Amino acid sequence: MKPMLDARARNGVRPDSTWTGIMDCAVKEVFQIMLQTDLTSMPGSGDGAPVGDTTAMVGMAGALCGVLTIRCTSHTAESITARMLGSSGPVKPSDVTDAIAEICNMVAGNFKGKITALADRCMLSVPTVIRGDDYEMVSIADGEQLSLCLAYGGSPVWICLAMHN
Amino acid sequence: MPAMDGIEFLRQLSTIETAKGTPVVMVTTEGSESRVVEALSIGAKGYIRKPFTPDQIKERVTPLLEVLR
Repeated sequence: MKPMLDARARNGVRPDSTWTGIMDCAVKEVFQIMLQTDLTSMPGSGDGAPVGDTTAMVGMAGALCGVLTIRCTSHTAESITARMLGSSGPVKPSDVTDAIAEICNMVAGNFKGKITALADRCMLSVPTVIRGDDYEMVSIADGEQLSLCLAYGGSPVWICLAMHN
Repeated sequence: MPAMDGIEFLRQLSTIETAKGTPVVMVTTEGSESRVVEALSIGAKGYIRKPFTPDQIKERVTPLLEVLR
């Protein structure tokens, strides 16, 4: 581990009951500012397993270790991309990858920026995007998980922060 | 950013003779105070934290363009 990161990791931050609300706010802010879109809650949807063939992931390391994922259908991802780019026509697959990765990165950054103990002591990885839905994510660390399901134009967008102990 | 982060990019840019004096505004999710101070100390002219609005971009970039004119 890098010395700087090691120092940041020494005092790990534990999640608390406010984090779900903070994540909700962080996601909604990113969509509002970057896409001029208001996400709405999808009651009950958060209990089911996330589905969708487009997943963006950003790793977090330091005072909090974990992975933030955003998952939706490719149709939703294309719509998000078009809106982000201000495009009314079809979007290129490479643009979809970039846009979803960027949204995930911004959500992770916005979330940690709202938690004083994390802001300066948690680093983000370069995002990764998975295309396809035939996979299962299994964390080898037995940590807590924070999940949200919000509606983008009626379609579900799952946000999940899997934290390592 | 793959390969290097914005701070490293700025460091490398400052070693290129023809690029010296190019105003750089960092646009990043890393908005912690220490990162802002680090970026400004190695020559960044501004720092915008994502997500950002078009007005924030204008506010930071316009004065830099006016200085160059």
